[in-house]
Parts: sequence; C-alpha cells; structure tokens
Amino acid sequence: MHSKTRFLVAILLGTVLLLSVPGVMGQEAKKDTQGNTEIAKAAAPTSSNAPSATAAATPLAPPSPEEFNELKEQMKQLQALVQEQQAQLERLKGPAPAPSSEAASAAPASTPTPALAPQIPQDTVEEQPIRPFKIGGFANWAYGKTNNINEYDLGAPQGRYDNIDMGLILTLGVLPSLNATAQVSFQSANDQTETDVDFAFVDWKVNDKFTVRGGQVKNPFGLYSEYLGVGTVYPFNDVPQSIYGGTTIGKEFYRGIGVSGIAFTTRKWEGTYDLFFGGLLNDELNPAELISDAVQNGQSTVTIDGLSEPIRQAFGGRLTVARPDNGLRFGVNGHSGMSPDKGRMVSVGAFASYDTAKYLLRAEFGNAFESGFVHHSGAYVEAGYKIDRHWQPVFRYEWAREGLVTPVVIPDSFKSHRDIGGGLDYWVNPKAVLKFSYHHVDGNMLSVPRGDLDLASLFAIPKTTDMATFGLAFVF
Amino acid sequence: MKPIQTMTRIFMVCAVVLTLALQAGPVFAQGRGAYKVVVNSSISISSISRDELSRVFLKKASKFHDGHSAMPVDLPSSSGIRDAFSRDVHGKPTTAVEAYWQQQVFSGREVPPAEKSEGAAIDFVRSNSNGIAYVSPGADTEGTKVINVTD
Repeated sequence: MHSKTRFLVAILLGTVLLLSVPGVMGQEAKKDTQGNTEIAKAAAPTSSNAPSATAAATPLAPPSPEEFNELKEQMKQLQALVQEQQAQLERLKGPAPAPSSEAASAAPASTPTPALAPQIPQDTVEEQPIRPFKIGGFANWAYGKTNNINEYDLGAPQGRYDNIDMGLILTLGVLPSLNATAQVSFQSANDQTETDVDFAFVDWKVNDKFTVRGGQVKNPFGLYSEYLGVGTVYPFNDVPQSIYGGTTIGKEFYRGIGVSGIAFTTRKWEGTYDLFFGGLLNDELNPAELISDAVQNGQSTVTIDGLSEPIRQAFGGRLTVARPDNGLRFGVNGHSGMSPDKGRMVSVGAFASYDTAKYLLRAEFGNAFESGFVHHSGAYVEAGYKIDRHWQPVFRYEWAREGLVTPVVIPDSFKSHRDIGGGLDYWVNPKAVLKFSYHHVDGNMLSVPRGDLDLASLFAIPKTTDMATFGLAFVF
Repeated sequence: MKPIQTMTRIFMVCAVVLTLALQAGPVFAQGRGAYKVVVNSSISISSISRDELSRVFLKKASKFHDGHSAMPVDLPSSSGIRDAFSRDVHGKPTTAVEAYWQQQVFSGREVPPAEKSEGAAIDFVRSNSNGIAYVSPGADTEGTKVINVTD
C-alpha cells in the first residue's frame, strides 16, 4: 500500500512536471493547427493585414496617387506569386484537388493569400489530432449468498451486499505516440473498503509493431487479467475463480517494463505479443497450506484468509493469434518470478475464445508450479448465447486442484474445487448489464468458512456449497 | 474426478471450439453500398482494402499502405450507417465493435476514434490532413476525397 502511494505520488509529480513544461502538452495540436491559424489571421480583413505597412500605419489618411500606384503594383506582384504557388501545388497534388489544411499550411504564413485563406475554416483549431485527456470508468455491484457456513467468491452465508468495484481510468495523451494511463478504484467487500491505484503507466507507441510500457501495468495473462472488475467483459458476476481467484495462476498486474505489439498480420489472421520484466503480486487463498502449517505448529485453530506476497525478478508474456473477422482468439501465456519464501514460481496457461455478437465460448487452463511441483491447476469453460439484444443465458464449468506436499492428513476436499454455474444476463445496452447466476460448488479449496477455524471440525465443514448472485455492471 | 481426465475434457472442448470457429465464416457484408469512405484530399490513395480499413478504424494500423498517417473518426454508435460499416468492414455489428473498444480502453491499450455526427466527420476529414471517415452515400463530401473499398 505504501509503495502504491509512493507510486501514485510519483505519477502525479510527473504529470505536474509535464504540464508545467511549456510546449509539451498539446504540442501536436499546436503543430497541426499553427499554420491554419496564422493563415486565417493573415487573411482576416483587418488593417494590420493590409499589404502595405504604410497604409497600415495611417489607416485614415487617403493614399496619394503615387502610393496608390505603388500599392496596385505590390498587389499585382502578390497575385502573381499566389498564382504561381497554386500552380505548383496543383502540379504536386494531381488534377484539381481541393486544398487541404496541410497544403494550405505549406504556404508561407506571413504571405497574405486571399485566394487560399477563405478555404481554411477558423474553427479547425477545435479539430485536434489528439484528445489530450480521456476518462472512462466502470462500476459493479453484486449480492451473493451461500447456503451454508462456507464463503465463496462474492457470496457469504448471511448474504453479502457490499461487493462493489468501481474504477476510473484516465489517459493523458502527452504526445500522439506517448500516453500516460492511470486507474484508480474503490473496492468494497465484507465490510472492508479500499481505495487504490490499480494501474499507472506510461506507454510509448514506437510503431504498430512495438509499444513500450513502464510502471504498474495490467498483466497480459489469459482472457481476463487485464479486465478484472470490468463486469461488462465477462458473462458472470465475477471472473472464473479457478484461474483468477486465489489459485496463484493469474495475477493482476506487473511492475516494471513491458513491450507489446502486432507480431504478424495476414489477410485473415493476426498475431500479437506481450513481454514484460519486473515484479508481480501473488494473491492466494490456500486453506490446505494454512491447515498444514497450523497442525505442524501444534495449533488448535487456523485463520483462513487470503495472502499476498510480492514476486520479484519476474518476467512473462503472452502470444495471441486471432481472426478478428469471426471472433476467434487463442494463445499461450506464462510468467515466472521469485517468491521470498517459496523460491521460483512459474505459471503457464493457454486460452481459446470464440466471441461473436451471438455466441460466446471461452476456455482457459493453467498450471502454477512452485519449487518443482504442480502447485495449482485450474481450468474453465464458459458459454453464452444472445437470444436477442437483451437476453443472454450463460453457463460455466470450472475446476481446480492443488498438489500440496505435506505429511499432514488434510481432507481431500480442501485441495479440490469444482463449480458448475448457470445464469441469465439482461443487457440494457452494450455498456450496462444485469446478471443473475446460480453456482453449485464442490470442494473447499476456494469455498471455506473465513476467520478462525477449529482444526477438530475440519471434517464437519460442508464439502458442497450453493451460491446465488445478482449484480449489475456498467462502463462509461 | 481425476485431474488428467478433466484436463483432457477441457482440451477436447477447446478443440471443438477451435474447429467450429475455423469452419465458421466471417459475418459477411450486409451493408456494402450503404456508406462511402472519405479521406482528406491530400491523401494520395484512391482505394483501400476492407482489411486495411478495418485495421485503421480499430487503430491496429496507424498509417495507410502508402505510409500516410491515418486518423479515423467514427459516427455515433446509434448510427445505422455505422452499423452497416461495422458489419461490412469489421464483420460484426457495432455492439461487438464497442465490446472490442471496452477491452482496449480498460486494458489501457488504446482509445476508440472520436465519435462525430456526419457533418462534423466530413468537416474533420476536410480540415485534417490525415482524416478518414465513412458517411452516407448521399452526403455532401465536397472538399474531401471519396475512395473505393475493395475486397
């Protein structure tokens, strides 16, 4: 949290610095419109733009016949110059094109060009090539209730009303190829609230094939790591728990440097890549390991809660192949890093998605390895069908397994997870959706009572849990 | 259920998904002729392929094939012209294109082109040397250049 605060302060300071440097913000806009503005100014029918400085200096005095002749001569010369320039432009641009702003701005700005000036509208100043500041946001609320003492994902035995996730994403277009992006969010669940900087990074688009990013960046893992909290992207009220819910397979962000871009394009296919180096944050819910530790330490109770630990010296990436015209996408991804307690951790996975306006089919699996053995495995398949533009029934099957090596006898249900869920979504419009779902969960790997648990009662904990959720999500 | 059996089933489902998707053709044009594409007069190209046009409007390509920078503008999402364009060029309706942009925005990768009314889009193209837009066939596009869309 402290490091995130420091990071936010650094980003804010950087933004202030950028804003304070004259000529950086809106540089491109100025560059693009400068010529137009100057020409328009030159063309404005004011005395300051009159061809003769003498005439401008004495606007009320009638010109003498000599001055009048001199003015006429200058006008003729200017007219000839303009005609010559127009002819040159036409030669360069082909047969009789309409003059563009670029061509117009190529003319000397200080030259009064009555023939060109009226074709450059003054309000083009509004048409900037980049919007220097953009803002978007998302909000989710969900209610979840389980049918016994177990808590699972959004659900709790007494019913949880405060599953709220709201975020604002801000993008500052410093230059056409340089953006600064930050996402701040407010999260609430189980009577705990948190305001956080989820992401803050700068990206430099060198070209279509190569973009560099630095900061705290969304982790390019699987189908959902980059959209956690954005409920209009996934069909249920939350993402599949087998990959993204405490199994250590998917991680939300990395801190460091990354590159991404288009690896190849053909007529139908497109390949993209992401690579990064830096650090990760490992969020884990691992009741089996907590129970094992508690038993070995001679405790009579164990506190079940999620754990977070930083992963250092991390690197990873994703390779995606897609056919944009029909919504098919598949790929592989992985990352690795050093846990301070457990040594090197590795996550690998693959995903496939077929996503059209009517059909939705997504599947993903992954393995997390820890010190040479499979720590977690997880997979899911989910499907949806848009009956019309509003109604969409959805289905999900997910599975996860933990390969904990311990001498302690732990009920097998604490090392396995299976969730069969069905739901119905109502899309108010493409940016707002209401969702209802029902899940039958088998296993206690991710569905357990939270807080202090009596070790003697382990075998009495229900192995199956049902959960109902209702929620809404929208983006703007 | 043993893990290996489950993994095999997941693989099989993935294989079925891939097979179905590969066999499915794109959602083909329903609106060819329902729009025309205009660019700034300074842009030298006279035609553009549908694939390139799609990449430009999805901001996957920042330049035309002749190297000239491209700056697209979209019509509002409620526009019928936009839906015809989306179906013909991107192979999907506007709602699906909007879903694509949600993913781009919230992953912090890219922001969608500005949305403008038809008149404002034409003004934009006329006044911006990199401008490109699509408009209704009957729109007054004087001062811009209409280009052909090819397969």
